[in-house]
Amino acid sequence: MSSLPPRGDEQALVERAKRDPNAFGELYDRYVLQIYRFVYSRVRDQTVAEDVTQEVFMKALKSVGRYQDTGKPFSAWLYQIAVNSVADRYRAARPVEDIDEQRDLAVSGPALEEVAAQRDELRRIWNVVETLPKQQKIAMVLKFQEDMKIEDIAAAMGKTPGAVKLLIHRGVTKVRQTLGPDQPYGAPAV
Amino acid sequence: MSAYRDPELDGLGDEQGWDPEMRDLAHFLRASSRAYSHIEPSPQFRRDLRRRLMRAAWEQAARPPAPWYRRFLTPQPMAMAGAAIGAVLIVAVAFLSLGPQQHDNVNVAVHSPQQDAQNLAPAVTPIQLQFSTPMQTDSVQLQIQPATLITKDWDTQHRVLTITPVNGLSANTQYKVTVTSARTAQSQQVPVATIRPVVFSTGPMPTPTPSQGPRPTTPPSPILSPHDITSVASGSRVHWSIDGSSLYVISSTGTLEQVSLSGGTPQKLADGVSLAAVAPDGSSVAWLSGGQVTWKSTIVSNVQPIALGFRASGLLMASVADVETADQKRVAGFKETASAADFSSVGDHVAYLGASGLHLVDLATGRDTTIGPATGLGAWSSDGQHYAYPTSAGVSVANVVEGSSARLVDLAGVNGLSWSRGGQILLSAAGALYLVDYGSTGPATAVRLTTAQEGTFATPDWAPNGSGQFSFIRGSDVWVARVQGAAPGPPLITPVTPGVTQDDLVNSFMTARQRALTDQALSFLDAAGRDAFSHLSLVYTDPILARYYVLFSQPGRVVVRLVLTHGVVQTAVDETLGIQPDANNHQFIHSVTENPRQSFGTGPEVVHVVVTPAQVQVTFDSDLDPNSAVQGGAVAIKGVTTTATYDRSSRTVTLTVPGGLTGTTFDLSIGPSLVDLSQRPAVQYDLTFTG
Repeated sequence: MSSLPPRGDEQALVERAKRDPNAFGELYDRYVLQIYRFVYSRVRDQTVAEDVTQEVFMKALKSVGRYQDTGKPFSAWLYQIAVNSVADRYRAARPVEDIDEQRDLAVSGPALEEVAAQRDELRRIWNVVETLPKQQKIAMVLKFQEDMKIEDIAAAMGKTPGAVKLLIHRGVTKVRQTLGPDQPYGAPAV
Repeated sequence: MSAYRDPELDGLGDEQGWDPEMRDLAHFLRASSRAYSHIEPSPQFRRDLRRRLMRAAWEQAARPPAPWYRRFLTPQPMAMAGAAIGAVLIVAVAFLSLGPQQHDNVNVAVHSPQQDAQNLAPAVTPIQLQFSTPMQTDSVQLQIQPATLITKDWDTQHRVLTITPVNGLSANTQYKVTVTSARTAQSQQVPVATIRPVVFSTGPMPTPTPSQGPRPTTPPSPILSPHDITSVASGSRVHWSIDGSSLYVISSTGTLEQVSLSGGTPQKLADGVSLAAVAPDGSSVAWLSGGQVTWKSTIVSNVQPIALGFRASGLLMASVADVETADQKRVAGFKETASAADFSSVGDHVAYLGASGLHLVDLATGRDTTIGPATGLGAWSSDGQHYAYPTSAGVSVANVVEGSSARLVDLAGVNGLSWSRGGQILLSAAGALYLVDYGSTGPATAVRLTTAQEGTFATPDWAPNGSGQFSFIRGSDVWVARVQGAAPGPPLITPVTPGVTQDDLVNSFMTARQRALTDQALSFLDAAGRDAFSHLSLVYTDPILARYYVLFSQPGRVVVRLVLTHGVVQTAVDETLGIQPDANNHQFIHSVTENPRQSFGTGPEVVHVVVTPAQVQVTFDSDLDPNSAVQGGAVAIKGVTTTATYDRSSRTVTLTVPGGLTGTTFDLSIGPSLVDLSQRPAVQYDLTFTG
């Protein structure tokens, strides 16, 4: 779950990193874990997750001088880079197939299985999420796994908040339709 | 379920008219925000990435600010200025159509053959600058970094400037030649800022090897002491252990065995084996048995590879259609169905036979180049840049970079090839053995080594340890023999190589790192060394480890400078490696300390230090101001009275200690009062050594 730092503190840090790239290390320390986890949740492979995470921060370092504070958390910008980097990764690897069409991503990965050993229901639901169209899935992951605000998801995905709401609504609706009625959502899962 | 509800989700539910079950589902999903909370990148990855970022940040900060026009062209100022530019353009067009055009400045392009070459030989001279237009020769001024004493010579057209470094070039050094002022032959001022500097690097000093000298070609070298090792399966390949002490063979019953050349019971590794390969560091063997590939703790099931190979990240498997990793991720596809394949030693290329003949595939880019007809697979050169293969007419050699091929020798019926690290190729054809020098001056000749009385020889394979031994198949047995006068080349060094020197060990370790062979590099470290390197980068990817040189070496301690580059931006890190023998007296790298070299390349840099009982010799990459080189304090041993002399030809300052240096720890210090010929001061450098 994201724990956002105070905005003023973050703004000052970003401004410092824009003037002096050597200050970027603090931003890296602050966000590496959540970006890595997000990337991992998309690629389910440690080596690939590390490669993509490196790419995200290298790109961020190169571009931080041009970063414009629009009132959104800095992490939204990093997620935007991460979303694009994951997409680029699979585009480069398999030009024809879409990330969502890849079987190894659409079925439960080992990490999720580990986690879901005592949470079969959650695993079943996330298996359904994995089958959703790409945009819906990214919106769902950023909202439910990364616990981001809709406005920040919109910034990360380059969409309006309204469009993000619609993606989430459609995603949740589709999950419910797929699972069928009378599911025990109310039961404690964690 | 999450401990608290998300008002944003409740709001979304209100907007979309979700019923209670939908809301529960949404909040249930939200509980999975902890689904990956246990996932963490490895501490080493985090540390390494931070270090890479900080290095990149340092380089980014060190770069000069973008020129005003670049800054101006960034999106925001561009947008703000758009309307204004529109108005100015209208005025400007009207003005230019009326006024005379000025031609004070001309554009001149400079090209140098050196900038297109990679790692030039240190002795390479001269450097050529080719100007796109005739120049006023006196007007052309240059700056060379590191500072280098030169002579200049123009061609008759005044377009080619030949620069000869008086004392040659320094090894392992990146040079930058900048034109600082110039006028054309028509006296037009050239805006020199538009001329791209010429940047090139020199390689390490070549190590003399037997392959460098004249090689005996006549009379044919006799085959010495052939002896039978064991029987092998028909058509199977034999692999040498890295130290040349044993062979990995597949017996006629399909058992993979390690057989020692000195005798004893073979060590059985697996049954039912049809394919095997030895890792480049010699630490492990992979094999195929019953549709399953086994390599260390990795098992890949339901596969039918036709070749196995290795690269830094692990095992590679070639099938008839493509190359995959151990986790069955596709690395590259084949244009044609492959019948046989052969990986290069570092796993960056694979050769295969398809319907059109030989193909070479670059595993980094996936590029599949058709080379042409071939009658079988051949052998990779030790640098992985060439592939020798048999054709119906003889042996050809393909160039990996150019994708081209050239006939090496005419010889019919070649059925076996092995390329030594010394550049000699052993061939078997019609039962006889031949030797070919690759790279010798003049046309290559296949010199017959064996006579019919000596028996039949097939599929020769040089031992990698530089012993001059080779294996071959005679009948159903594998044999080992020697070729007298062979140039097997430098051995593959590992910690267990008999008699390996400390410097050879470090050089081999650094070469493995430079070639990103992680496993091979790790094999030089003992447990403490691995632990020490877990906090540092063993292999660099960006920036890359472009060059290294041993600054200083004393028993048990070696200081290595790593030059890291990102494009033409270079930084340096000094590593002090501790060397320690294990219980079997094999030397391993036991410890490391790292010291980033600040402001690398901004002044003269030390490239080598030699300590003798009465002298310390310090060699630099730059031509030094002779006066500053010998003045007190420029190059000094703290607390010791010395006299300094400077040898211009070798760029070496020699400190002589009247009483000698014995038994104590000393600090060599180089200070900013030492300047090069361009008066650039040395950045402070300190080195601790024992007498």
